This record gives sequence, C-alpha cells and structure tokens, in this order.
Amino acid sequence: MSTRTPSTDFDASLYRQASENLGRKFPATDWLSPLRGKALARFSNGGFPTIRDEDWRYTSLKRVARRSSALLHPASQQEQSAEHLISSSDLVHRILPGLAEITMVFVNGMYQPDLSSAPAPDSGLIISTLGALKKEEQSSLLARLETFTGTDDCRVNAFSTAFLTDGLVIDVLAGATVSAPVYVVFLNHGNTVGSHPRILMRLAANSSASLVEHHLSETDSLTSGITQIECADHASLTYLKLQQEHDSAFHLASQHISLAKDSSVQAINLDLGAGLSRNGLTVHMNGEHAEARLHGLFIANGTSHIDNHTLVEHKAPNTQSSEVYRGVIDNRGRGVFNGRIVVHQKAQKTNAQLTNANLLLSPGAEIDTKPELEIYADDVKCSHGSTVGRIDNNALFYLRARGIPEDEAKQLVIRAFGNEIVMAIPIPQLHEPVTDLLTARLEQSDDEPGLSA
Amino acid sequence: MATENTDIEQLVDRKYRHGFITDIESETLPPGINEDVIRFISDKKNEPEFLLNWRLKSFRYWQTIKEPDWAKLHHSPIDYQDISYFSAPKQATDAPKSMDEVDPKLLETYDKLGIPLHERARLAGVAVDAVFDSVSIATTFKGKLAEAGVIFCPFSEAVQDHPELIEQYLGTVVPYRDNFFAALNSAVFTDGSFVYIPKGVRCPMELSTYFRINEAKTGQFERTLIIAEEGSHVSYLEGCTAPMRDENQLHAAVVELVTMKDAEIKYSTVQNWYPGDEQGRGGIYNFVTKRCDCRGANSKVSWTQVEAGSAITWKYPSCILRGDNSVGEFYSVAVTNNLQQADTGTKMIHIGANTRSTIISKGISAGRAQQSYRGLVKIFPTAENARNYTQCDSLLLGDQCGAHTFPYMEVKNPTAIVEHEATTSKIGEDQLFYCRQRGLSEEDAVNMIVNGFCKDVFRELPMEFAVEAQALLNVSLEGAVG
Repeated sequence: MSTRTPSTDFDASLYRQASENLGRKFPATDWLSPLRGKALARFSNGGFPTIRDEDWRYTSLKRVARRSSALLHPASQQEQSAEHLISSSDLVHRILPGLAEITMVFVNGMYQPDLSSAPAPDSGLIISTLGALKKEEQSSLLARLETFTGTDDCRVNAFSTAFLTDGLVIDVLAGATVSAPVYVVFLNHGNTVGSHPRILMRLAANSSASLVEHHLSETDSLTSGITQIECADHASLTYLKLQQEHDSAFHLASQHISLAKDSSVQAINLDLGAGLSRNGLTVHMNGEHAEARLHGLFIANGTSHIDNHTLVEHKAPNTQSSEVYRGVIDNRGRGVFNGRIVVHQKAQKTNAQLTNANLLLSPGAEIDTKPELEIYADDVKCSHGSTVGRIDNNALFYLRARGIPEDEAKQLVIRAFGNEIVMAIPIPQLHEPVTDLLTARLEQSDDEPGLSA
Repeated sequence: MATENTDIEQLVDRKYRHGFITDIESETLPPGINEDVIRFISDKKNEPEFLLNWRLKSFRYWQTIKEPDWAKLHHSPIDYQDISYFSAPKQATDAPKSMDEVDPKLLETYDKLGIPLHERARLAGVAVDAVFDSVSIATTFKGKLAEAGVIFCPFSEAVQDHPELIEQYLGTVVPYRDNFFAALNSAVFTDGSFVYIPKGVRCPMELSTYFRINEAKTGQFERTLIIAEEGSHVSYLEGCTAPMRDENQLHAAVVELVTMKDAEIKYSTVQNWYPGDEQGRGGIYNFVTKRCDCRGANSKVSWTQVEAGSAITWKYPSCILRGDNSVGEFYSVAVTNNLQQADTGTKMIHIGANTRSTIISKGISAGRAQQSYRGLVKIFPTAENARNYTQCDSLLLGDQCGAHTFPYMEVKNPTAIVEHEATTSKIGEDQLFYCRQRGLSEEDAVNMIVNGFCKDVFRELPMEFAVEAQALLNVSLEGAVG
C-alpha cells in the first residue's frame, strides 16, 4: 500500500563509494561484498523512506539522511587500535551486572575478543562472528542474511545490509538448555561513527536460551542493526533488547523472530535513549501452538523521538500472542507506537491481545499510536486497546495525603507504570539494575529546566 | 423476547427488495465529463455565476489529482468518462406545485420503498425530501416547517431562493480540494437537501431524505448542507436504495453540517444501496464525504449510520470539534456479506477545550466480505481536557470473510484522555447453545445475538429507523448462517 517516494536529498554515489570501501577496509568479511552490493542497489532505489510512506508517517528520517553519509562506516581495525579503545574497566560500569558468563562485545560495529568472554565448549552453544567464519559456512549464511521480511520498510534493512561489517552467528544445539544469557553489547565509541551489526540466532529443537542485546553510544552515531532468530519445534527463547543510545544518536533496528511448532518467545524491548529511534519487531508464528509474549517500554524525554512498530503474524492454527507496550513521554519528546496483528485464514483458534498505554507528562509531548487488527479467520479471539492519559490524580492524591511531596509522588506513579514491564523480564537478576536505569532515565527529564510540566 | 415467527424458508428467500426499476421517462446526459457537461448542469439548474465558477474550479482541480488507493478496497478501475452525470425524471416545464401533480409513477416508487410521502407522512410526522436519480422530486410539510422558520428544500431550490446562504456556507466544511471524490462531487453535484434551522428553533419534526438511483449508467452526486444556528436542534434521517443491475454504479455524495453555539444536529443514515449479487456482480460504489464543523461552544453532533448496502463503501463521517465543550458522537453498524467491501470509520478532530467524543463501531462480516474500521482521533495542543472513548467490535460469520481495524490516535495535549479498544470474534458456541436450548432456531438465535451486538447503535436511531435497521440486518445476513 505504501508508495515509494525518493527522498530529495539522496545521493546514491556517496553510499556506493562507502559500501565499496568496506571490502578493502575489512578483509575478513570481504565475502559479504556481493550481498552488500545487492542490498545497496535495493536501498538506492529511493533511499530512506519518507513520511509519505504509510509505515513512516510519524517518523521522518530526514535528519538521518542528512547525517548518514558522515556516519556510514566504522573506522578500520588499525584506526580503532590507534585510538586506544575502551578498556574493560571502562566498560564494566556501563554494562549490565550479573551477565558476565557469556559476553560478546562489539565496539563501533567490530567484535572485540579482548573484552568478551566466550561460552564454555560444553554449554550447548556455538557462537561465531561473521569475520571468523570458515569458507564453507559462508555460503549457507549468505542466503540467511538475505532473507528478512517484516513491517520495516525493506529499504532500511537494505541500508543496514549494505554496510554490514560484522555480526554474530549463534547456534543453540538441539535439546540444550542454556541457563546463562548470551549478552551482546554494541557500543559506539567516539565521535561520528556508524555501526550496522547483525545477529543470526538459531535455536534447534527442544532447546532453550536467552539473548540480551544492549546498545550504547557516547555521542552522535548511527546504529542500524538487524536481529534474526529462528526457533525450531519446542524451542524456547527469551529475548531482551535494551536501547540506551546517546541523546543525539540515531538508532534504526529490526528483529525478525520465527516460531515453529510448539515453540515460544518472550521478548522485552526497552527504549531508554536515542535522539531518534525506530524499532521494528516482527514475529512469525509459523507452527501450530506457537506462543509469543511481547513487552515494551519506551521513555521519550528531552527532544527524543521513539518509534516502535510491531507485527505479529499468526500463520498457523492454535497460536497465541499477547503484547503489552507502555510509553512515557515527557518534555518535548515524541512517542510512536504501531502494533499490528495479522491472523491468516489458516490460523483458526488464534488468541491475540495487544495493549498500549501511554503517559503524556508535558504540554510539548506527543504520542501517535495505532493498534491494528487484520483478521481473515473467524474462529479467533482478538482484541487490542490503546490509551493515552496523564498521571491519575486519585493516585497522586492518595500519595500526597500520606505526606509524600508532589514531585516524589509523581515519580513514584511513573516508576510503577514502567516497572510492570521491567518485572516481566524473565531474567530475575536484571530486575534491580534495569529499575535503576529506568529511574535514572526518568530523573534526566527532571533536570531539563523549563520543560517539565 | 419472542422471536419474530418468520418462516426460515421465507427468510432465506428474502433478497434485496428494493431492486426494481421504475420505467419512467427521463432526461439523461450521454456519458462523459468535461467543462461543457458542468456548464450544462449549471445552466439547467439556472445557477448563479459564483456556483458555476466554483464547479469549474473544482473540476479543474479534480483533473489534477488521483483516486486515493490507501483504503483496503479492491475494485476494477472506475471509468469516469463512462458515467452519465445528469439524469432527471422528465416532467412538465413547471415543477409540481403540490403532491398531486407529482408523476404518479414516482409516488408509486416511493410507496414501494415504504416511504411516507403522502398522508402517511402526516401520521409518521416526518418531513420528507425525495431525491430520484439526480433531482429532488418532492418535499413534504414545507408549510408547517416554514412557520417555525425552518428551511427544508431541495438543494437546487435553495440555490434559487437563498443563494446568500449557499454562497456563505458551501464548501466551508468540505472544501472542493478535500479529496478526489469531494472534488468530483463539487464539480457535478446535481441536487440534494438543504436545511437551515434559525437561532433558537427546535425543528418541530424529524427531517428525512430518500435517495434513489434509477437510471442505468448514471452516477449520483448529491450534496447536503445543514446549518444549525445558535441554540437550534434538528434530527435528520437519510435513506438510500437502488435497482439491481449488473454494472457498478458510482455514488459520490458530500454532506456538510455546521453547528453554531449550543446547536445540535442528529444525523442518521440507513444506507441500503444495492450491494451486488452473490457473485459480486453489480452494486453501488459508495464514496462519501461527510463532515460536521462544530463551530460554536457547547455544540453537538451525532452521526448514526447503518451501512448494509453497496458493493463498496468508503465513508468516514467526521467531526471537527472547534468550539469549546463541543461533543461529537459516531455510532455505526456496518454489515457486509457475499463480496461486499467496506472501509469505514470516523475522524474526531479535537481543537477546542473540554471537547468530548464517543465512537462506537460494530462491524459484521459474512460470506467473503472484507470490512475495515479506519478512524482518527486527533487532539490538538489547544484541546485542554479533551476526552475520547472508542470501541470497535467485529463479528465474523464464516471463515472466508475478514475484519480489520486501523485506528489512528494522535495526541498533543497531556491533559487529554484517549481510549480505544477493539475486539474481533465469532458468535460464541455457548451463546448459540444457550439460545438453541431454549427452542430458538439457529437463524433466529444468530439474528438475536447479532441484534444484541448492535444494540448500542440501534438505540441511537429514531424509532422508525431502528425497526427498519433491524429488519435490514436480518436480510443482509441471510444465507450467512448454517
């Protein structure tokens, strides 16, 4: 339905040069060149989507398009080492505690073995980076790298692929239960960098594993990442994405999760940063009795713009999905939520629910929300709900009557609103640190003078 | 509740009952559209200069734009040059002075439709304006309304008698540049209804317009304008039917409502254009733009619609809540069966402070029909304490149909409260079982459950319409069960 309109300030030659340079700069992933070329051709057919594209009507990528040529590619390996990259002691207070067992760290899009700790050989996990793959493994991966579909306009996915330099390939062996989460940190370090990371994860039959994806940046940078996860029969996945980019950073990400028979996913998406962030999450329920539970929390304060698009495709009978997204929008922030549920004709006996609740805290804040149901099967139970409102005055009164000052009472109510999502994280040791991050983020908006209501 | 003892056989046999064709002499323009056609229509209607110019402006603009394609509708392209833009029942040079002079065949048509044009009108207490193909043929109760100061007449008559009102209000709610179909309508509209309620007047009776497409290969483009001055109140009903034909006919109407301070308009529609047959042949393409501008404080508008007909429905009655404390309501039941498609909903634009809106939409999809609710709730930064509540429910009957919901919510004021909820399901086995156990046939049980599902909307309809709407619902869904 969306029509394609080329953005006006699009210069394809700039992008071509940058993409072609990658092969020389990063010889280890030179085998990706044909893929990058194809993706670039797809991206060049119009450049970034514009607000005339229905899927992007509330999120303009003009700012990204203007800055992207400067933020296209990471520094080469030599350049990076020359800069004396971040040390593990620098890193440790920025990453989540309690996940040290398997940690994979990427700085400016490149894997850092010194900062990472690989899983034990008998853990049931095989992890490799794109740069370290053997030749025979490369060709089978090329096809997988190319196949991604979803709500996100494929041009943004193509953009990410055109500048792909490194990524992770994670395989969970059949029957393995990996208790330690795979913790992947993507850090953009230093000025004007771009990173375009990729995670390819596969859970074999009857396995279970957790993936935590954490995005951090220090100044203006661009991240455009793609995560692809396939769950085989009876597999069970826990997935947490934590986005804590710098206030001037751009973050464009998409996740594509496919579920086979009796498999399940529990996904939590937390947006606590970025100047402009767009996250597209797609879940394909391909097998019968698949189950998805999705949670999301976004806090847009300052002038940040946070966009969440989700798509749940029910393609098989007896599938279940539930989705809860919450937004807190303060100062001059803007939140966008689009949650789509599609029930295909075959998918009888589907249960699907979606709710999106938003708190608007200040006169300059804006929320645009659109839950969508597209249903082609009759024996289904589907519902969605969406609310926008301010802090409940009754709740405030209750707290104030008990001697709690107004500001504190407000913070308490907002934190409680967000905490329900944090408590849904199935990795208990993360509840406390994530709550702290949430509190810190909310306090940030208080500091901005003259903006708070 | 006792079930209507309708024989199921009879029920199943009931088809579109307004599908007859009235054999009546009419004057019809050959198909095609150009500036000469527009000049012809304008000349025929003896219109003042400003109106012709406005039509031409609209036409020129229309030529520069494309048909919208964002709706979830699929149809073969419409050839706008293959439609006749003017068709009028032939009559003596003088228009009929009273009901007795109206062509008896026309009256018979309206009799068949069950529309009270004559004495029955008096009993029903409803003033009726009947539009046949492109022109209005009769308006009842003019005298009584005039006593109250209410103007209720065909649009073309209002152009002659009250050109200043037309010039002041036409196109101020739906400008000709609004959308493709509004531009087309602005260029070629032929008639419609005009209502003016003066300050402080409560219209003494319900006003009603019946639209009928009769001639083949014609399009119908009517325009309705209702102005409710300060402190006035009016309830307006609209009904429409068309003959059964194998071709698709185009209907593109524009309805403009204006409410001043403390005024209230209640606008009810029972749309029963011919929906096409089981194979999806024929039927009306219904592309309608309806909007109310609540200009004054404390004004109120209420749209109630029952959409049962048309092969394609594209319709979003909207409220611009400009005045402080103004209220917008939208109650809708849409029924699609066989191969019907409907993309319908509303827009609530909150601009004034303390504005409130309610949206209740009930969709029933059966056969191979596809139906979408598409709505927008927009809260401007100026709309302090605005409030919206939206509920959309869809009922699916059969595994080949679809029901979709696309609500847009754009909120720019932190004091606003906006709520939306939607559900989609089929009739519960337990509900059916409960009814069957008490001796109801499956058909009756389904009818009863469906009527209950739509109750919130039917309650808003004026009584005569509510009865008609319920019967219509049963007919529209016939064959969808079992």
